Amino acid sequence: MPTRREFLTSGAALAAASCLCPLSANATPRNIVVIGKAIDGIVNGFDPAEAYDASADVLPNLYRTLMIYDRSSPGQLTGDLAERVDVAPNGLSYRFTLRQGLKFGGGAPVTAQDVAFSLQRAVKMNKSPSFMLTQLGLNASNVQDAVRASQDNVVTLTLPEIRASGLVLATLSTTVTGVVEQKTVMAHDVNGDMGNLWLRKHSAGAGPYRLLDWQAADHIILGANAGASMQPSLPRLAIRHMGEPATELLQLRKSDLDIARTLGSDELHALAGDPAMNIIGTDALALIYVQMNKATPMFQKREVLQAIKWSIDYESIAAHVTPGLWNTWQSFLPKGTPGALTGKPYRKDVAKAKALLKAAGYPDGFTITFDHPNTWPYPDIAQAMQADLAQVGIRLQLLAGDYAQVLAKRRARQHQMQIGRFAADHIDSSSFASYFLPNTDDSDAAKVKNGAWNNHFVDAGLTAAALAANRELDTARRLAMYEQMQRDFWEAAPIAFLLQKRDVAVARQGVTGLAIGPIDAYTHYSGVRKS
Amino acid sequence: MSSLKARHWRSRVGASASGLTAMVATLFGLVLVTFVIGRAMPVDPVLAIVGDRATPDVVARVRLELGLDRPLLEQFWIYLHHIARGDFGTSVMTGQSVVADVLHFFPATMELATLAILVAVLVGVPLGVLAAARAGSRLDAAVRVISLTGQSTPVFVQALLCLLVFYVKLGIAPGLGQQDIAFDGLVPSVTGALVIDAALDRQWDVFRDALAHLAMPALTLAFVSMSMIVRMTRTFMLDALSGEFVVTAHAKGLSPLRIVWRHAFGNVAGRLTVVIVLAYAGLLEGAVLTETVFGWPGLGQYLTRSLLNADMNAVLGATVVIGTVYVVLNFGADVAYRLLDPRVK
Repeated sequence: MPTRREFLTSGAALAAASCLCPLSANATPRNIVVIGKAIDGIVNGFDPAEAYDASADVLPNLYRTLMIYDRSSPGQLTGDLAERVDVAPNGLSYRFTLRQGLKFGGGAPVTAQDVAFSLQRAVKMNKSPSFMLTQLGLNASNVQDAVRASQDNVVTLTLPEIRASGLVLATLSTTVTGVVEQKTVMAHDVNGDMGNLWLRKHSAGAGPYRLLDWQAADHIILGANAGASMQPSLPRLAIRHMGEPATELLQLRKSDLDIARTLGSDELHALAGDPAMNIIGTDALALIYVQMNKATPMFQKREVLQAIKWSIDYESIAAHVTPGLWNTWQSFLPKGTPGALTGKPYRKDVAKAKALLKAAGYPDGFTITFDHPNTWPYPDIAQAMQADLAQVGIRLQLLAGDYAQVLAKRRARQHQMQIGRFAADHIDSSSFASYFLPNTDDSDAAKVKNGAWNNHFVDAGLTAAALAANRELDTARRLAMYEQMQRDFWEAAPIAFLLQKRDVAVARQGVTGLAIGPIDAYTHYSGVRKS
Repeated sequence: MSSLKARHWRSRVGASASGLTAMVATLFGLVLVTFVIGRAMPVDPVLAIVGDRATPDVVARVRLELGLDRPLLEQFWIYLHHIARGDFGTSVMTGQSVVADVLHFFPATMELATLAILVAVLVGVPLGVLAAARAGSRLDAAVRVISLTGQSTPVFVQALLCLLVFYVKLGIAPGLGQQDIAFDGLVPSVTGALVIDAALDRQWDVFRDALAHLAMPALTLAFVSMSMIVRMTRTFMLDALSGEFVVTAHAKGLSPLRIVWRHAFGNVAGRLTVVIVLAYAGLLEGAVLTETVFGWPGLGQYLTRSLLNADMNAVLGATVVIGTVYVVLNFGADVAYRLLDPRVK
């Protein structure tokens, strides 16, 4: 039987031994970039014709597109695969001349036929992101003729109807237009799926990386795309799922991550001034807004909509609920979009809001339900708004729900008031305007069910203006149209914009070269290096 | 005598057969309830797949593809047909068959649960026996305190404390996940249990890394199970040690070791087996929180994520697998109890 002294001695020895021989070997390997990010929203994998939303920052690293966001001139696009773009004066015809020496992984050349095939495939498959191409007037029956490889290195796009060149070129920078290698993809065709099943977990692009492994909501491993004309600085990149920002911060501090992409306000505050960390950020084209369904009698009155817009303490929400990550913004075009108005006409004015409510016939206010997703920052914003609106007599009944549940309610137009979030698909102003403004058919059988339709918002003037802007070929006139639309929208719309996202990443010291774009589809990891 | 024995065995086989029938009925009930709950959820699985911006025709097509346009009874009948063929459908989250997903994630859970139960039994049973044999001693009091701590502290609190102490403060344990990202993809999957696969492939660096990652979550789970096992062992043994047969054994002059381990422990072995098997089943189906805290890519995490993404095929498939494991182990425990304890008919 060991004595107490022996027991304590051996315990101390064991503890000392475990410190000398740690099980963990801190710090990530030098040839791998490890990024922490919430990736549990990725469904169905990485086929560019099908993937949408959460996979958007991986796809531009696997696939190249005709056009790309120009980092040297923010707000502009430049050619990626396309060396030269010729637009016909009538706005219907586009001619893309490909660069020389472009190669897919494995070394096969990128041809005009591959580009045409990729665009045709995305339209024919008709998956979630295909609306970006079909809004140009392309559909399964006309795309074969509309997109053609006229020469080995020339792709022509002939639109059935006029679209603004800004919209067309921006669409050709989106992930759904990522160019796949036709031969490889069709070799994996199963029952006419054009390689869809295979591409969910593999890649066949000309990007700097190829997809090595994806375990849903766990990790994504990318490796250098050997043979491709563009190569990454480091041969391997791993994205680890981070469900909790606090855990992400912990792993970053313990050197288990090189870059953290989904930290919250609290974590960023904790890192402020830490010399071992570099905080990188850019204004993202994503907005948080509050929408009022005009099927609710109160919201049919313009004064009520205005009263709500004058009741919210925008600055306080940004300063106390989402500091560093979401800044105040009131226009439907976010900063960084051509034609965005930077003015903020609304501020909290209780007297003015009360007067407006009285004029609308609600001197004592009213009670209304308010749906919001149950994840940060929505509950905190909802509570702040509840307090703000209570001061003018509007009583919000908060209904928290899963994001998909809240979304389903909005799509069914069963909400009264709801918080929402919208992120751009591309840099062009139409990405926002097409969602929030036009409503040509407010019936349940409408073919287009956008943000305006969700809220029974029908404004003939704004609808006509938004559709006209999509067809306007003169860039200056088009920008002027968007500026006017933003002013009119403030007056008429049952939607109040609150905040614009700031996309923030934190990299450990010595990790450089991360290129965050204003949208995920413009984010590139290939330049990341470690010193 | 042999006729008596045969009748005895026949009665046990009969009881086991009726248990088997109950097991099938339970599984059917499990499938039915899970299916109904899945369809009654207020989350639209179609929207979870297509997102906010999909056009109405895309939404309608996906709804059709998932068969959600059909009456509920018809959907259930089709689902039963499919699972009878071993087809649990395709997970919308991973894009591959649910069976393939389960085969991928379940071995990680088994690896964790098996190591945990082994540690729990090897430590818990002797401790429980010792505590009972020295009832009222300091050792007994210490064992009871440890057992109470393990049972009264939620497992996720223990897991977080372990992470805080061994990973954050002391830095002697690796972080989250099943292995370091640098080793990912180096070992071909044979059994699905990374530690075993690494050993089979003689990749000793990967083996050490995988074992280090496995240690903390497994020991956390083991502590919880051990607390229960040690308490049950002590209680059973106290009961057995106060039996007349033990007094008789003492009177016959048998050694204390023989009385405790051969006579008393032999008497409680049947009951203890049931406790251990049920604890193991609980670990297989209830390690969700531990898997979440440690980022362990097991079936519990898969199920949770699928639920949050309204991936109903995956939820149903994983629930049926977990339910089946539980029911089968329960049945096994029942049979073992009948075989080990001659007093049970």
